[in-house]
Amino acid sequence: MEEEFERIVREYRDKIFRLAYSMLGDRGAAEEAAQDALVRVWKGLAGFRAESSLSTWIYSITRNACLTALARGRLRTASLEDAAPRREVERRATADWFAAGPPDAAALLDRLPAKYRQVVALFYMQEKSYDEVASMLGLPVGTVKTYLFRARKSLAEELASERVRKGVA
Amino acid sequence: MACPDFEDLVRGGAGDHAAHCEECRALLDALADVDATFEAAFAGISAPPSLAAGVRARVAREFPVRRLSVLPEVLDFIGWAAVFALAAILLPRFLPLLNAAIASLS
Repeated sequence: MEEEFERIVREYRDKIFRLAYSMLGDRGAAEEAAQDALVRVWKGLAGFRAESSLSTWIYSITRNACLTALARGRLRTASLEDAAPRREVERRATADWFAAGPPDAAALLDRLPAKYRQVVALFYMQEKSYDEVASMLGLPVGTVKTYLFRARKSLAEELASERVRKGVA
Repeated sequence: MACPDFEDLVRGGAGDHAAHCEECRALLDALADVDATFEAAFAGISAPPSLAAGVRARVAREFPVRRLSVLPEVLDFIGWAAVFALAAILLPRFLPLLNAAIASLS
């Protein structure tokens, strides 16, 4: 079982960390939640009956570990989901988010509805793999594609119209 | 010519229409900026090296490997020793009686 666990740690640590980071929005908290998830995997590995695939089981444990972390209120920094209200103030203070050149990622995410944010962040972390993101979030691939399409469209339209309105090339 | 919808525009890239339409070109530029921003922010994020070490340490701490107890072996030894001791005490007493019984039968 130890060899199997070592293989899981090697194979899944990055994915588990990314999933946690996309849920918690903070590297330290993500590392802690990823550790919790892997310890739970170790605890449950002997009883794992392969009724679902190993990856589905691991991702589900990771999501639960993140939800536990959020519920415990261990998180000092806000999650991606509730970042919007906090950053609203910062956004007002930092003008010209739409200026020429790549805008700020956090500012872009804040402009998205909460349910799109995690999908968008994870999509770019996972080298744009729809299947992997769907598997990690436990969502149908079609839903992931729809969320991403709507998110990118909304951001591009908003960015383009702001630039045109303000006369920024 | 009417602007294509977003999906067709993205699929067709900077085709004929986008080459002549400032609005569509701006939209494609904005989309490229959005993609570039997210890629720069999120691509290549991987677990810190301390994660695996931290997990191993926690597993070792929370689930220590239990050393097998020698108690069953000791109890087993004591039990068998008692059996042999009892046999050693009783056999010399009963062996003459047993021999006599066998002799009377024959």
